[in-house]
Amino acid sequence: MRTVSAVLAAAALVAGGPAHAATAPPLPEVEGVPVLGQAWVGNVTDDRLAVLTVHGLRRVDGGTVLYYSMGLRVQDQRGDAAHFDAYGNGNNYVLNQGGAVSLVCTAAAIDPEHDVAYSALRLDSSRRCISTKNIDFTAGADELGKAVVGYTVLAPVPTDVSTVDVLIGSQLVQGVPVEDGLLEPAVEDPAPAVGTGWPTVETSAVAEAVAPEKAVFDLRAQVEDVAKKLTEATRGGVKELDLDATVLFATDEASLTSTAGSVIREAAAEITEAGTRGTITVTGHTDSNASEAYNLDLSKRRAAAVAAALKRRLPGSISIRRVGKGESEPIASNETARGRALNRRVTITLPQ
Amino acid sequence: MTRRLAALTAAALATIALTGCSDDPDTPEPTGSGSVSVTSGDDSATASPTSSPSPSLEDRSAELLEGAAPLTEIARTRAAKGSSFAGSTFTFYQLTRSDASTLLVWRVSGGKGSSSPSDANVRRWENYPVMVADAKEYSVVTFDKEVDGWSALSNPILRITSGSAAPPQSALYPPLPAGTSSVTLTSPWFADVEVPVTEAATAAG
Repeated sequence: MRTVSAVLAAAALVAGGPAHAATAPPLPEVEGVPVLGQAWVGNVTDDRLAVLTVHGLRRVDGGTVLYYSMGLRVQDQRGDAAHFDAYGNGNNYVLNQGGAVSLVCTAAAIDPEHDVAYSALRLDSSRRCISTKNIDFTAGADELGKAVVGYTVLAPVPTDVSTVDVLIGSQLVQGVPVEDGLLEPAVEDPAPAVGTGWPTVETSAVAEAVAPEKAVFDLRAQVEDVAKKLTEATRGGVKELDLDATVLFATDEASLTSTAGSVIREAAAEITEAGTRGTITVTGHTDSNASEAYNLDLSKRRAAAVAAALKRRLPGSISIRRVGKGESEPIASNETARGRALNRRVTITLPQ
Repeated sequence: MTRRLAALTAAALATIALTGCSDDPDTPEPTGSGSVSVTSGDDSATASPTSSPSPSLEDRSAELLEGAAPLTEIARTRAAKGSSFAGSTFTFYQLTRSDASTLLVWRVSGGKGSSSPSDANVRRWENYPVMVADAKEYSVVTFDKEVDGWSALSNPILRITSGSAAPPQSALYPPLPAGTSSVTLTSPWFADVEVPVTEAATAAG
């Protein structure tokens, strides 16, 4: 997900460019306890916030174990038990493969650099994931200020990924290192207090995970250069340039407008400057207005028009493949005007 | 082979291996230690357990909870009249960049309350706030949920209660260039607002 602009900005810094932004407050140092990131987690039923802490992301055979804790500060206690599985925003849709509905099952290691997220492995159709049980993830009414440790087993993170962002408890935590092996000592307490050991992970269950491939999600990121009318996107590790069809073509037309030339010139420059070799793919996309057949034909004609214009501006060593996808691959909702505009595009995919 | 396909292949191989030896008493014990050394800003992979003796096991909850940096307001703006947040206030607490991503954290308060603010829909990612900096627009990162299509990598609230602040929400964005000191957030949800940027914290050494 590193953008060209980010690289250029970093280079400018080395050359004495703008000063660094302020740094976020440091994480607490706790003897014997790794503290890799923290966030505040709410609860839809009351206004108290719990402290979420990520303690480890550890590779095991067939999976990755996320260790985290949650706790209410003493001053936030009201003499009642804290059921941490009920915390979060009540939304278990994000990066959850479906079925496993719980805070402890809505978790993921996010690799923004390669545009992939590794979420909780699911065990069976009874909506279980391999994790601390909801009923155990609790601090009792007589346990004021206790932070309890839980775990969730995620899909395996590749060995060449060293740092990820983490989703847990409805919150995101940046820059968590991925390391090897379980945290020790493991203890019998299914949700021990922070500092008293780590929960015993049910590693034997990893082999029983159902459809582990569904726990891995592709990500897409986009940065639009407003002046160039060019959007640089990465999707599942593949770099793309999105050209706004509204700028390139009149409605229902496949002939390039007078303003299209500058956009295609900028795109050609980006492709060349990226050191591209081999075959690029030019793909036409439409929104869902009109019939599928009409949109498919329109997208093919638009891809051909852009490919022809690009070819004149690219080195002969780069070949172009043209594809029309019609309305079949939207990137946004067709139910909103903004979404339909995003879907009307011509995408240039660069070879990996 | 895409990154995702490679990961899936690895997962399948690991599953096969585990299935084949699940009853094997010689399966090696996993390695690791509670006394892991955490190094500030260390990007190196697979840190090894340290050889130093483990500290005594005792409840460290207080140090952890009291040491957490409080949520501190960095910007606020009013909800747009035409949005389902109308009447609410958006308060921003965190906009931190790393070399891999940018994280935005905010809360919504006030308004009439809503059991389901329709604008807080991850499947309408195009309505999520856009970060504008140096003539570039950074959109929220999306994830592909197969049949459902692309959705925002964010966890929206499902309920706003009148008179109280909703739980914190966060969303992930592409990395801002190093040195970016502020961005303008623009969205159909609220009036444009300038938000300062901080560098992400790293684990203590």
